[in-house]
Amino acid sequence: MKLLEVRNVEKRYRRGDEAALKGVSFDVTEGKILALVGESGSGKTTLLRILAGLERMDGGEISLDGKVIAEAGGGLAPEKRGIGLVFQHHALFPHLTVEKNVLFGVRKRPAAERRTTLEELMELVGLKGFEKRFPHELSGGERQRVALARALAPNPRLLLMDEPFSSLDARLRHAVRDETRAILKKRGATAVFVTHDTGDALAVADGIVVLRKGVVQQAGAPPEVYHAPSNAYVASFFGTCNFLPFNSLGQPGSARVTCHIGPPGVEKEESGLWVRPEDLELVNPGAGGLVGVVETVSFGGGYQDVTLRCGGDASIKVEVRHHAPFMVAAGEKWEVVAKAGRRG
Amino acid sequence: MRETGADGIWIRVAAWTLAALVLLPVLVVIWRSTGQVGRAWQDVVENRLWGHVRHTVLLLVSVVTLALALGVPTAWLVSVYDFPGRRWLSWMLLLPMAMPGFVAAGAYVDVLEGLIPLYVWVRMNWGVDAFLKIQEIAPWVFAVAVLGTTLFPYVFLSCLAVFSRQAAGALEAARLLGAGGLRVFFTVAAPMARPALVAGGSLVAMEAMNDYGVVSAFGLTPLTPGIFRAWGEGEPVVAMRLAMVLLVMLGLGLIFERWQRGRRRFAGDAAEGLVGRQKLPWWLGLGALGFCLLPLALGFLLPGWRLAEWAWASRDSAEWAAHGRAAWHSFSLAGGAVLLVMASAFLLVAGQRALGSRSMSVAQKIGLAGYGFPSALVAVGVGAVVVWVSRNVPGAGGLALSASVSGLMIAYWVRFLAVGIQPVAAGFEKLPGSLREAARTLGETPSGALWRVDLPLVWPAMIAGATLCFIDVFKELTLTLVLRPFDFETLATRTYRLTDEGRLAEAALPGLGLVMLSLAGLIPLTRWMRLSEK
Repeated sequence: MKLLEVRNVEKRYRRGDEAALKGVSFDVTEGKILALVGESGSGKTTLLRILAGLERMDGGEISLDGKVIAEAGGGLAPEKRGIGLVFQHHALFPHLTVEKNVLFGVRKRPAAERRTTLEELMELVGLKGFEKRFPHELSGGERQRVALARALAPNPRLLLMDEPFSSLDARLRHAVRDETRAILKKRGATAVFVTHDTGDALAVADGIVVLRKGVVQQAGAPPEVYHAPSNAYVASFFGTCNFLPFNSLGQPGSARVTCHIGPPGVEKEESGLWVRPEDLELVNPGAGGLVGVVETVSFGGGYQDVTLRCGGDASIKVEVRHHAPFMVAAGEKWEVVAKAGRRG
Repeated sequence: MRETGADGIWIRVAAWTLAALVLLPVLVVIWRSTGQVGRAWQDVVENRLWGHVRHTVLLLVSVVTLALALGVPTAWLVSVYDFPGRRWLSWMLLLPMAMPGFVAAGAYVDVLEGLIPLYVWVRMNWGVDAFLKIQEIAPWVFAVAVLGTTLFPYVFLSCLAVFSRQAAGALEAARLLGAGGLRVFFTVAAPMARPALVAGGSLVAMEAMNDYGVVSAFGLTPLTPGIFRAWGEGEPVVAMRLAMVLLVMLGLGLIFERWQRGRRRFAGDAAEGLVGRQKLPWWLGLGALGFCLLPLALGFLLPGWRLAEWAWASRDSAEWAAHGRAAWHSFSLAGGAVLLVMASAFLLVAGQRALGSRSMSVAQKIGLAGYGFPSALVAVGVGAVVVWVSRNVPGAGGLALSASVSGLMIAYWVRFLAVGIQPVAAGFEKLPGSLREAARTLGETPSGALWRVDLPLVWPAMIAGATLCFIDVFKELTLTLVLRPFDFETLATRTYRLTDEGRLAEAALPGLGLVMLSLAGLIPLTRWMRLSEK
């Protein structure tokens, strides 16, 4: 069942400026997690703030549970929407304890109910015993969890999160995002979060909406967006991608590097193929693939990132999952072929 | 569909009412000064006006010069050199701020009288011309010295912030590039401190312009006492025209400041580094110590000591009841004014933050501008309104006392609203906007968010503003002298009157009371300075 429906949202900050959002539409199904992904300036945070009611929009309609909550130039006040928001830097109230922060939004409920809410949430986010601490006495990950508990406390119909993992360091980040997904799933919460990190989006979300300059580029499940990008921007945004123009390869089918990613033909005006480095492999010369000389190699632990130059200025990136003692070195000559199962 | 709960219209109306009230005294003066006057104005123009203007310019220029000459070098010495007593001096040099000029003047007037033998000697040996000259100059020297040594901490403080924090990185770099102490000062520190010099100097000039106690104690006649004289002589229109002259001079001063600043802007990249202090050889160290002790002694220690001595000597004969009554008046006036100021400051700042509209920030700027209005102008502007109300509102005549007490409150409020607005605005500035938004998404209305999130977080700033404002009102003299009801004394007016009547010993006790209270207000400031030491 569709919980949130976003239709043709338009936003312009100042008259004459370029629109921050242009005809943005998407749906969120109840119980699902959606990621809004884009570079800075893509309009993703603006969209989130419009959903929360902190910003007005100039056109379009947003409904929650079949009820219109925002339309051109107005909408329900944020406190009346039943939408929770986890802020990028958490925005915990520094003058209140963890307990008072979490219960901030439910102070009108009876005391007994508040107590059970608190216990439940502290249990859920794994912060039992932290109730009396102040925000400055918590670590980054703990603050993130308090912010999540605080936003969940009033049982919002929809939970929004603004760059929820960006203030955490790399090691913590993976743990916290797995944990967050687990918490949301356990609550059966419907959530929309904004991120510039494609890794966060792929790992946490059930669905992804890619925004660029205020326009939706693609909306779909994570594997779909990754493996079948609808255009060049999406393809390269979700990781390194080789563009192999047909003229460098000859006609399709004439070279052995004939795999396809996404719908055949991808972008009509740029005739060529988009291939991810992990879909290619290196074989000894003679297999009939694309011949190239290794230019640079960087060691990535379980793999090597290899760049080859294949005549002229065409270069190809290949991710080599090596099974020792197989190691590639600069200056060597290899042939590039599509991995088995990826050949089209 | 309009967003509900945006009760903006009432905040806007209230803010603009406050802004209009701040402008009221100036508007009254502008309007009334165009009224009819007979010979009185002619008389003033022919005989006094030029003298008032000349004395005002002379006074401001010499006081600011002295304050810069004392404030800049002391700040420089304390922030980049190490010498005996430096740590103590770095906060003790603020003490003269706690010595109201008219209180210090009380401790020096008899020194001036002690110069009579010198006059006689000059007359006997150098003739009448020299005698007249020295008799004219000596009070000036005293007045300028008293104002300069009590006001220089404004310059000291603003320069200290630059030398020991903002410019610290540049100073270290200059030194590493091989520049010696004096060269660093003139090529790097002084130009970087220019905005601070201007800020500190302007504060000193404003205080000197608003002074009534010191200049009248030494018999000088710049515009402020001139305005009061005309007002006291029952010539309100003349007083207002003189106030307009003062306003025009202030405007010219502002234009001059803009012009000399040109296109210079100094981005204060708040470098956290502190200057590694250079140790001075012992003879230079003693020199630095002596130089710093001079203004401290003249502006605080010496007058403080004399007052303490007199107060102790006169403790048995002191009129405790009268002092107590005056103190009670001071406390209640200051308390009332603080409540008005802080409530308005919170409304203006919080309203501006919540609504974020341009008209709200204009209203806030008008509120800040009140601090720049000359006291004499505010006094006669509000005074005229009080007179009008007690004559024209039926029944108000019998309430002359309350009319004039409320007039006094309004005048304090106009002058010191900025003292409340600034810390509150700074407090709000530090709050990320996301806190209020978080409260909104958790179900709070705009006013609920203000009450439950903003107010508790800016509370320390509110307290700081209230303290500063309380002390400013408590020791205010100029407005109070004009607007107080008949026979109504505050500690400040009592100190001034006793000094004026030559009862110096009796004036010492209330004067000392004012100093003590002002010292309490300095404590947060010195604590801040000690933090910045670490």
